[in-house]
Amino acid sequence: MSVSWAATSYAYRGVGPPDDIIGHQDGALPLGHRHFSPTAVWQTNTDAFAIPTPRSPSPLDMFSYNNNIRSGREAAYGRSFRPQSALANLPNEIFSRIFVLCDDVSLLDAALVCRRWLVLSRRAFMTSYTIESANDFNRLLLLLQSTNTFRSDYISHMDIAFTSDETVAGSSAMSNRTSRRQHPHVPSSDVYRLLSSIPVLDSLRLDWVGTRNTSLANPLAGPMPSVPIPLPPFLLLPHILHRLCSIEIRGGSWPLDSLLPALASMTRLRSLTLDNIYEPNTDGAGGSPAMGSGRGKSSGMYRSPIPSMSPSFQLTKLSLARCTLSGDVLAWILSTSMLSLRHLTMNTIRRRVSGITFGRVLAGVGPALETFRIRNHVDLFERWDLEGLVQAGLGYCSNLRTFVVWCDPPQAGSMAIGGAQPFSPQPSPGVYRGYGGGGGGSGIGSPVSPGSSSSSSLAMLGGYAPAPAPGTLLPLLVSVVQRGWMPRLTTLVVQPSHIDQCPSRVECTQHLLLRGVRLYDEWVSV
Amino acid sequence: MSITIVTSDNEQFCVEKLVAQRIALIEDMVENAGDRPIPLPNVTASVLRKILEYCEHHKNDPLPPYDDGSRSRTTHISEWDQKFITVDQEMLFEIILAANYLEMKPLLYVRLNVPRVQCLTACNAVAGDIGCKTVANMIKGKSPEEIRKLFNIVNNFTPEEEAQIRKEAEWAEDR
Repeated sequence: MSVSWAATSYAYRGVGPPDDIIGHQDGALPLGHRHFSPTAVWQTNTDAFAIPTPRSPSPLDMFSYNNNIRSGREAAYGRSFRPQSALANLPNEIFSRIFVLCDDVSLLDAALVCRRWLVLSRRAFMTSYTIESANDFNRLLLLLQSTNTFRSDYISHMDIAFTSDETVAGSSAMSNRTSRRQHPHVPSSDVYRLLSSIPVLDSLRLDWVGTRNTSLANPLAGPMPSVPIPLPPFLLLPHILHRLCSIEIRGGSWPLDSLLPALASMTRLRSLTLDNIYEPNTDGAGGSPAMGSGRGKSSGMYRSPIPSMSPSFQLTKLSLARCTLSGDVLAWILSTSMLSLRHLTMNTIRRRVSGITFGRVLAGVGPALETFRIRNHVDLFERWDLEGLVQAGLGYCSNLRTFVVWCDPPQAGSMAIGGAQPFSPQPSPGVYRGYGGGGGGSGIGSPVSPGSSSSSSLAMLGGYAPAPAPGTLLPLLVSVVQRGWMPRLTTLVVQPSHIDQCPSRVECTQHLLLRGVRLYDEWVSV
Repeated sequence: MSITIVTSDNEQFCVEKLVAQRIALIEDMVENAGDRPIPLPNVTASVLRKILEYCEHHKNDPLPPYDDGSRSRTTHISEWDQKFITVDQEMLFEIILAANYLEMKPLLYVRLNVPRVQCLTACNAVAGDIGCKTVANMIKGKSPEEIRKLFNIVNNFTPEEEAQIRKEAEWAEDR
């Protein structure tokens, strides 16, 4: 069927064409016949009738028009209508930042404002949750199980302090109320249960993971057990492994090597912080013979083959402080992060005798590094002269902007490295926040087993270089800068004693200023 | 040394480089722009004037301390900043949006010498953070009805929904 434009226009106007133009391919239909046969053809004859011109619109009273809208809104909402404030139209991302600044009571009130604010405020309320005690844990469980608007998928960051199965096992004889008062922390089995129900956790911060408060865990009470303490099981949850972008473990008591299989599965991990990890049963030469080096004691030690590292494991920030590590493990962690690692902190790391040295680290990751903080260098720099720094790979750090070199002076009666005081992984009762990290900046308290002597600890530290002589470090670094090895350097941090005892500190400072480098004497705990 | 900035309404600002570099987006563009004026098509002259006033006042301030990314409830605003941000809601809205546009660029994280979290804090300190704190202070301590009245927001909850949300909030109040 073909229909002419005129018929189409009639149909659009909602009126039928005049009877006299209804036609058929075989001839005109009789007038008054309204039958539309499939083969009907609309004939156009604009001369036969005049097309009426459209009616001109009547003048609209703008005032009454607006009043009509207003009254419509009032009818809809039952109150006088006013346009929303501009601030109410801010984008969601900015509102999220605003709500993060609000306290809990304000957030709960803000949720009642409108539907949009309900979602944003609930998300801000739940986005970062801190569990410091069993009460926090139980409240979160109650919220998730009993309500509809507090949702587990809003939680993207979790901060958990103190988990321990051993404590719960030891306190089982007590009544619930007594055990909770004495042990307000959350056992790792409960954390496992909780994290199983959180689908989108991006960031996890753990403060003290491992045994505590038992005779087995208390190194001051006797020798550490030879039985290896496994990694907390919640760190092995599949969705945690595959989702986590940032993990920070401050304080703990387990062999660091046991974390490696989990790390190999964390393909989205970008930031890794390990601080103050006490490795049980590491006194004595060799420590844990992980990575198949096989030179240390073998009885009761954690053994694991080197897991294969996913190419998508590309760290941008790595912070290692006060833990025991072998050069092989460090090389393995950084093997796929050569071009991605921008911030590296190594604070009082102890290297095992077995395996390679740390000296290859800078040569691998140097080109991408922007921030490099090293405290108590172990053997990263084997010699404190220009040639030694070149061999350590400092010349590769062409993008370095912040360079922190810190060497704690050795203290009498303690470890030569780190100036450490006797270290105890045992947290103080009643002080259960921030124990593990200790602010992240202190070099005091290196993870030496308290039961071991200084000599046995030193035996583990294979081939570390002595600290540079006082007053020699600053001129050396200035000469490095003058040679243009770190062309983008803007911030240099050196220990105050190395600046004060430098005979040419004024000239050094002037040289640095000429190069646009600012000199500081404070360890930045970033 | 000074640079020229052109706003969306074609007004030109001649700004000292040290001041302009407080704004990360401009700092980024300065290197590529050379002597040419830097266009800011999303910022009007009145808003840029306010932001530059802020940058001028804070040009010698050090970077703010490291923020670990956890929820920070600090909404303290200094006296000068308080006076600076005492504007009508329309202007406050414009300042927050402009600060967001000027500073929250992904390039920022690559350029500065500090990790990403600290960069966020550093850039937030320029006007945007003050704006957010101001709005947060406007919200704090007010009932839902007062907030609705302040921002002219329509309550689109049904009474049943509102009762349900109030009931659920009781679970969280003892947190």
